[in-house]
Amino acid sequence: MSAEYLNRLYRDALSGDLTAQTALFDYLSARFRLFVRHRVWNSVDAEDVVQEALVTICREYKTLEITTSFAAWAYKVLDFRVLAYVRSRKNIETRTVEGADGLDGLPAPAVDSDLQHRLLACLQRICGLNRRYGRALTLHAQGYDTTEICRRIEIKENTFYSLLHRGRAMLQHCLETGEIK
Amino acid sequence: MSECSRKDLAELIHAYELGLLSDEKRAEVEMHLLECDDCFGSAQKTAEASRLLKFHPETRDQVRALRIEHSSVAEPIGRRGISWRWAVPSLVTVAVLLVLVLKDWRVDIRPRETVVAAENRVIVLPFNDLVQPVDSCRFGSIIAGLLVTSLSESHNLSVVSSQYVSDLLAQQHISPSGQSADASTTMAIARHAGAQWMVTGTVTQLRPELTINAELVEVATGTVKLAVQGKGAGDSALFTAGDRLAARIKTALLPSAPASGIRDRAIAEITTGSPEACQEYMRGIDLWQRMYIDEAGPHFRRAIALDSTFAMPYYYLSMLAVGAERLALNRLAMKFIDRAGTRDGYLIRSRSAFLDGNLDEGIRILSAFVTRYPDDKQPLLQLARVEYTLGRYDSALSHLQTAIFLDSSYAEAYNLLAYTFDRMGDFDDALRASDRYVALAPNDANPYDSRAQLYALNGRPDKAIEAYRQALAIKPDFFSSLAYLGIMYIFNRNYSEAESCFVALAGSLAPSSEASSRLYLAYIPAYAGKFEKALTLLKQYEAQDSVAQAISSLSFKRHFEAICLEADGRPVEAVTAMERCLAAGPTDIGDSYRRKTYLIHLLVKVGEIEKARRLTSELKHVLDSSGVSQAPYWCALGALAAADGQVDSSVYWYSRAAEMGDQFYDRLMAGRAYLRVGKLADAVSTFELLLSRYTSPRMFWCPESVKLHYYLGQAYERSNWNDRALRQYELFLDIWKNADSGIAERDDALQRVQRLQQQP
Repeated sequence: MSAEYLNRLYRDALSGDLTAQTALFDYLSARFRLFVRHRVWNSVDAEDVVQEALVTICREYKTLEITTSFAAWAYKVLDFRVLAYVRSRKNIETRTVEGADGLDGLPAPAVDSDLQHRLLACLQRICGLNRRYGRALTLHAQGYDTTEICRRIEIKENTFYSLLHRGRAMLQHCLETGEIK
Repeated sequence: MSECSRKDLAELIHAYELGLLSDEKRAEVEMHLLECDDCFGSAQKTAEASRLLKFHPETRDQVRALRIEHSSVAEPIGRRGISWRWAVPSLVTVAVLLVLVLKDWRVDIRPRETVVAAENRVIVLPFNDLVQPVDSCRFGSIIAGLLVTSLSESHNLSVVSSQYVSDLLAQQHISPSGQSADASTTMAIARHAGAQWMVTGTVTQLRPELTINAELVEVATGTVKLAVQGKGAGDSALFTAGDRLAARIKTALLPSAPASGIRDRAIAEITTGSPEACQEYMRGIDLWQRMYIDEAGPHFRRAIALDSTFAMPYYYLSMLAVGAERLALNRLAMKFIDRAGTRDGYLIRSRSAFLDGNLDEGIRILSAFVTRYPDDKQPLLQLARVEYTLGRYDSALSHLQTAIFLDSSYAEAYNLLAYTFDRMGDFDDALRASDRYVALAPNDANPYDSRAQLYALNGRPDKAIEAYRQALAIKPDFFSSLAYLGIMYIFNRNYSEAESCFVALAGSLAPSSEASSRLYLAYIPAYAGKFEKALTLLKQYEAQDSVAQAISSLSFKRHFEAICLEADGRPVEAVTAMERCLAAGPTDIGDSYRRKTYLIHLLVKVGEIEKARRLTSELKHVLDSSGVSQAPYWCALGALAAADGQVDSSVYWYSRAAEMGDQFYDRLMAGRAYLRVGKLADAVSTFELLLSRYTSPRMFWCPESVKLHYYLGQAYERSNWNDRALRQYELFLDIWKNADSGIAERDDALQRVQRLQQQP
């Protein structure tokens, strides 16, 4: 699929094709969910952000004349929602008085312990084979950014991305099959 | 599904998933994911795993702890078996040395995955002081500390050490008094420590009767097994109340314990009878555990002033002292060892054995400590320090692994681990351990100071300066960082900054800081080749040391004076200065051996061979009888062999000494010997290694440190690496561009540069 496909769905939806509209929002919600969950740890909050963005798009896409790319516009809407969320979290974190609704004290999201176990087991094995990938991951876990990691393992940024790409392919295979390729 | 047409963006997906892209690149990748089914499908498959890697603290902790196997890369010369710390001519580092000793730390970082509550393992948390909520006296902590000491006497209980409790509180950002800890946090701490039982309590009344309420809680269920009140009146109220509480807790936990026939010793019998002394001691311990050892000293001294029979303050003070004072303080700790608990008794006796040179006995005592208290990480760290000091890094690593297994957040262990990795030639893992140390104690200066030293030892002075500055931002008067930052500035030839560091150092709380500062100030002109000025300063400073009775410092200054005199072409005067240095008074035994070696070198240089032989025989005799390393003797033999024209023997003895202990002087002499006999590859590698290390011993030998460029230049020139040689000569001449006139090496280097520049 491509931007053209998305723009076609958008045009069909504009013209009143409900099937196209449903397909359009299904398409967006799956991707938006992925994007937001990479930026927001709390799953409930992440879903809220996605829904808010979709509601905004649903409300406004028929009223706006989008001359360039519907995908780019929709993505921008989502990006603004995420930024708004991040800003609101910062405000909460800087508050000295506990939230009246007590929601700030909600327990951290539950994790899939089986996935966690498999992930660590795979990483342990992959790191034995691909030490630089392991080193990059441990540095990432220590909070280092790309520049610092590259400096520490003495590689260029593009090499670093390739390194991560190869490591990820091994990780994906291991998570799916339990084996190292 | 269509195949991705943007491989460049597909390659960024994992970096995107981990949050390692700039906002701009992230948006580009997300726009691509919005349009590309292939990449989107792939990203979905790893989405949850990536989220764990990016967000989940526990997963990130475990990733940090992943063991990355290391290939057996050939080890650089001299990285194994070093003990540069001990070569630090230190007054220079009376305290620095100690910091280093204390900082002693490979991680197979495998934090204990499942903490299982050990049977009858008890944790005592600081009591809440309801009478003085601010608790400036730290009364609640003192009571907890006393209970730990008393309960630890029981063979049937395993009591979590006060240090571990303090570490756990610090990790939770709770003050050492534990005042801000809520119930759920205290339970979490108890579980983390693997305790079956937790003792908490409150101080409810101070007068007329001290009243303390304590609860014994089963950690797994939260059930209160015992609620008890301890009371005491008068001067000994604290100890009486503590004894009563301890007795009730022991009875509750060990109702059917067989009577040993030995009366439980009262708390006052195994600590101090003075509440004030106890308070001072606890304050000292708190500072000590955070590596602010110089600040801890005054508290220990006040504790002794209040109770001269209190053993443990003597023990800690002996670690702060040098030379005869150290031995005297340790003897006092031994004298009053009956006034220490079993746990502390092991510490005192092992240290005493080490100071007597009886290493095997010291290790045996520490091993017994581990057997008696298998869950106590402290003796493991002590054992690791000993093994590290002896250059047995694998053993040190093993002890550290066990300590970290017991407490995956043991900051001090990570500190030593970083140094151990570095000695094993694994700088990457050293930095990893150092990072962990920083993460565990981000508000302490010492983690940054340690990291700076790692950088300095691995040829990165600029990074070292940066890290020292971070340490000083946290604690502006941190002795070690101020001293070493000044030294780094000298290496960078930023003499004004160096001077300001040393001036600031004079005001630090460390013992003899003024005297140390004066020695460091003399380094500045000496490093620039202005020996006359350095010697003038030294004369003035030596007079001040004599008045201040700073004997140890005086010895170092006379030693440094001899080094400057030799560099200034006055070896006869250098001999006199060294003889005066050795006559100055008692200092560390190790230093006196080293000084004799240098004196022998000077005697050979002025032609007093027979005297040098006699001194060498005496040195051999002393080293044999004390059972310490023979490296100083081998170095002396190297000098004598050179005097006899036996150049190969000279190389043999010097290289043997250099490989033994990795002292700057030994390695320097080995390098010079290699150069003399034309072993150019060895000479190059030795000089390159020495130049890659920015250490305090290298600065102490600063004329030779600068001349390393000249020596390396010669080694390169004779190897026909003329461009490299030229570079080294130029560096050498640049450092000494304003040096005193008449320095032979400088004149020779000028001629060599001219000659090399004229060559096609």
